[in-house]
Amino acid sequence: MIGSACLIITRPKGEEISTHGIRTAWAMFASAIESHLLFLDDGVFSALGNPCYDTQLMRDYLREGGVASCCREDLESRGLTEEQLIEGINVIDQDQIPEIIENNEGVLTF
Amino acid sequence: MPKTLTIVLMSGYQENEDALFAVGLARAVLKAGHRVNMFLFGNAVNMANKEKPIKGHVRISERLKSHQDTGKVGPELDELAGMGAQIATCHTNEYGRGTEAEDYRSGVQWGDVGETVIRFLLTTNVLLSIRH
Repeated sequence: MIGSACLIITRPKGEEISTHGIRTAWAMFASAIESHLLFLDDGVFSALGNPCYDTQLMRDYLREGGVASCCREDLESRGLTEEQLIEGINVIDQDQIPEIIENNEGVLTF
Repeated sequence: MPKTLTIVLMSGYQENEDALFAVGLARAVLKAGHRVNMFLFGNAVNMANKEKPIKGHVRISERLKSHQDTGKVGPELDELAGMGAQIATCHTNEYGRGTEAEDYRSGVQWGDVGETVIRFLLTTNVLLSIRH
């Protein structure tokens, strides 16, 4: 059984695949499977609180206790700041990513 | 002891070779005596439905048709199901593509992220997402 999973979002808002990742994280969390949403690369644009379905789902997920992180280096290289993120998303350094992945039994990349 | 691989496939026909790879991998895993679940997500849901016969003259050169037929992995999904694979599709993605309620291939089941993916995870040893 997969009891925990890291779901890596690498694509921005507007690409269906980023919605797939957020929906899957929510489904896992709602089914008591530990999930950690990780926004990397252009996926950081999906963490900005754009007015859309993804953001609504993210806010529900975070409000209920879901865990989400965003890579600092990927934010900065795109001229984005922590203040622009949906409230509740943690900002982590790139060298923290391996530990997050290692701490989960499965990894899905979107 | 057999293990279970769950593949989340997010590419469909023709756009790349992800589906070809996923089917090949699934076949190899099944032949080795293990189990496979496959969840069709995104454009992969386009492979869930029975093909409709083409009406009239097919205006495609034999060479191009042969090339495109390589990517038509739909019948291979039926073959995998016959080998024991559990293959399900995301009905909400079908809705988004206007294909929900169209007939499924014999090897494909109706599915949902909240129900099917979770059910697959409960018996999975290895999780793999295949996408571009």
